[in-house]
Amino acid sequence: MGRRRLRAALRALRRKPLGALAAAVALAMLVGAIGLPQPRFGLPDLPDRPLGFEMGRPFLARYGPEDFFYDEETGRLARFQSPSGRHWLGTDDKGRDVWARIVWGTRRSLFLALWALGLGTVGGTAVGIVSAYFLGKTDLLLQRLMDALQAFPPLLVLMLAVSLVEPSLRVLAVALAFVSVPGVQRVVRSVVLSVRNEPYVEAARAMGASHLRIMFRHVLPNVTAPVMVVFSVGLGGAVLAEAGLSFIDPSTVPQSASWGLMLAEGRAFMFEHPHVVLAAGGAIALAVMAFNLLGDALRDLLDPRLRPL
Amino acid sequence: MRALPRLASRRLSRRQFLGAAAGLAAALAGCGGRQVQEGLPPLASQEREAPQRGGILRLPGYEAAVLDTLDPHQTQFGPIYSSHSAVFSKVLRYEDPLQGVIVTDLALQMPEVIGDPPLEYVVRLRPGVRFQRPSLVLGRPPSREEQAVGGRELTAEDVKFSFERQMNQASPRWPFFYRAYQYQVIDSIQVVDRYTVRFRTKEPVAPFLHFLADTNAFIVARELVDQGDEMNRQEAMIGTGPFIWDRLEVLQQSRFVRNPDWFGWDRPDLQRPYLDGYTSIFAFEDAVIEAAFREKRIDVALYQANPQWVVRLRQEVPGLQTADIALAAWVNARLRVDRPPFNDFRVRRAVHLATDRQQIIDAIWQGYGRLHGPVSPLVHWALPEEELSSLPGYRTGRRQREEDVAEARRLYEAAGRPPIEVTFSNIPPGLASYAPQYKRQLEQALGGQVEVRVIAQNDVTEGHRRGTIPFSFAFDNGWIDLDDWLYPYFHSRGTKNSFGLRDPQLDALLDAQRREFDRQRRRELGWQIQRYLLDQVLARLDMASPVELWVAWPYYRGFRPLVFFGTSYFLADAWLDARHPSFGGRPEGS
Repeated sequence: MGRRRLRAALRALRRKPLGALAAAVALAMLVGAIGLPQPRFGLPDLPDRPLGFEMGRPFLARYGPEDFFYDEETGRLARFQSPSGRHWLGTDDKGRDVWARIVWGTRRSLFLALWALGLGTVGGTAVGIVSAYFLGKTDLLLQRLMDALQAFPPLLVLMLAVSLVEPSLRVLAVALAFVSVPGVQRVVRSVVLSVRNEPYVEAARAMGASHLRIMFRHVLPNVTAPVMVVFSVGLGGAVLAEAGLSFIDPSTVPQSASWGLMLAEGRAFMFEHPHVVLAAGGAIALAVMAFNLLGDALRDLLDPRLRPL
Repeated sequence: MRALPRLASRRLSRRQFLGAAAGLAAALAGCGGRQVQEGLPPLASQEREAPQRGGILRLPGYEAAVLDTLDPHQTQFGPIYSSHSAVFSKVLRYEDPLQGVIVTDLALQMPEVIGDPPLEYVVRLRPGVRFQRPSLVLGRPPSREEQAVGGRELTAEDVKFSFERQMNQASPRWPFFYRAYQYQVIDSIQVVDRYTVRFRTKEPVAPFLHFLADTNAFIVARELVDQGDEMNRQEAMIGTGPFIWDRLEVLQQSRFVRNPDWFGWDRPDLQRPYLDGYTSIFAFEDAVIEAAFREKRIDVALYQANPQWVVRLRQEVPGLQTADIALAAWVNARLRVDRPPFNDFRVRRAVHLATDRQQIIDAIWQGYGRLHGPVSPLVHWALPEEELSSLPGYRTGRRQREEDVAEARRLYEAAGRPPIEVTFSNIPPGLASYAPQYKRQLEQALGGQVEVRVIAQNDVTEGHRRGTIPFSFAFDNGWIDLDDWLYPYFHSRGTKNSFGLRDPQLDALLDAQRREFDRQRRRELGWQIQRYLLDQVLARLDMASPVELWVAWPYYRGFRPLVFFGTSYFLADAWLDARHPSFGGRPEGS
């Protein structure tokens, strides 16, 4: 069994090299962003306790996100230092290590996106299944509600959310989840519409299975593949949305290391010291591209219609 | 910005390279931290050419942001003072805030001072000063407010009303009259005749003439104040100043047009203002400001976050008018001294010593800033700079910093290492983005737990008023007279005393400086108070102020950097020289 899976994975690698590369980048981001778990537990929070336990310094970060450095000669902040062995990507306008901020920003972007898409996908899947399974008035009501939600530009909803309550990454994650629900449910609904009339669903219904059981045991497993694709592609969107919000209005988001904030702060100096915006922009581009390519590859691999005969 | 692609697109000769290197060296020399040459261009009155009439001056500014209220007696927000100072008049005004030179505004001559020491001031007003009539200039129907007051002559009754309004403790808006602490010294205001008003003070007050020239000392018409004692309405912005407030487009622009009925101070024959108006454009992006300035869509500019473009521009465009001068506004921290943990002087002193002020200058203003004591180094009341920079907490030498940090840590540990929470204002953006670094800096220096949060400036102001913020870190406007810098903040009765500070010895010193009419002795008293604040109190930790690099096109005549908020009446002297070669290419319109 294990050998068969390995062979399948290698085959997938050969068929989708770009997807494999994207998966490698995503994995590297994840590994780079996490750190040694600390024995401090509590309610999950962002960016440093996304799973309920405190994460230590990211493995790839050599310094803290706000650690600043002084010039040995002048004793003043070592601002805008060029890349060197001490500072791989140089320093920014406040004398902080750009590489360290990129890595810490990865944690913020990645876990915010995972949280947001996790919540959004659960919500969207639930809405999509219920809507398509029951059809009729339930479907009509839920779909019009989703249409109404989709009518709001996502960035506006995000800005509204962080301006209504005290801004925190948790609020941002929930707001991002909220705006991702309509897109997820639309895909799920379309799949469930075809699944709900399958003979095995009819059979379960004839055997007297409850609606809840049918939805969980027979419908849900059939929407897993498209949901995985939507989730993967959505991660890129969430990373972009967080960066966009941090860039547009840095004062409305918590001031931890963030790619969008780095872009916002670095743009004033981009002509004299382009390395800060290039690093932040590059990180955003790489992450979004990786998640999109990964999503494409997953779709190709998981959609039977796209499999080679 | 435009030079980069050109340079990149072709090979450089050795001569070009050497030239560029020399230019770069000059640029680096010009941007070396606090080595800027501070100074102001000549005043308009010192220019020889006859001014030309017409044109709309366009400048970047924050006037289009209204953070608290439009009421001229209730606002605390500097840019609103600036708008008011163009629209409303005062009895007296500052001709040179840096030197503290006060001249007449509505007053016909400097007040007659009676008594030794003085207790009475008789002000004779200019006759024929009339409230603005915006509808005549703007071509729109007169508002209810204009119908009530437009064209009416300003009299002694208006002066009496404007001060008594701010002294009225029965007003529902009483807590918001921030200048009340100044006017509490007034015993009575008597209208002698239509143009004469007599102020009698309860005791001799040295800065009384300053009180008549200060921010919030605007003379307004009773008709413009509603039943709730408010005039927080655009329609109520009708004064007797050189400009009429045409339009306020929030966070976009604020437009002012020439008041043709303006009395013109001592020279009505000059027919000032020379400008048809001016527009303050809300812009805080360096790229936007630079592009607008290069295209002459604005006539004057200054950096927001990155000073390098101004340095570069000055080299690229010779002949630009320039001025490098610190703003009166400054960054400070306010501590609640009546509650833990800052009721323990050791904690306050630990924070004071641990704070790296030079880092604040470098991180927020890229090195273009000045250390700031309890009084701005701009005004002559400040502690001598050499003394300030030698004091613990202000010393920048490496060994001295290490000593300060070691002492800070010792004090903090002796106080039991209490957790510290700092509340930052979100304005200006550079301050908010410094918050995490300040947290890190304090944590490193003290070895304790520090939390920071960033909230809206409005909430910081409200928090100060309610006394709910134990440790705030924010920008403040900056003042001219010694009394303004100290009394409202540190006196037990001070309207800006958000620290919960009650110190009889300090009160006595603050009262004493008010009674001292000899300028030099008052200055020394001011120094004594500042030393006391730094040695014994440390309720307000004063950090630094930015040094602004200004550029103005040569055709903008009478250019004066507005170093203090509330001095926009200087624009009455400004004019646009359409004959100047640099005027070519300036786009039309407002």
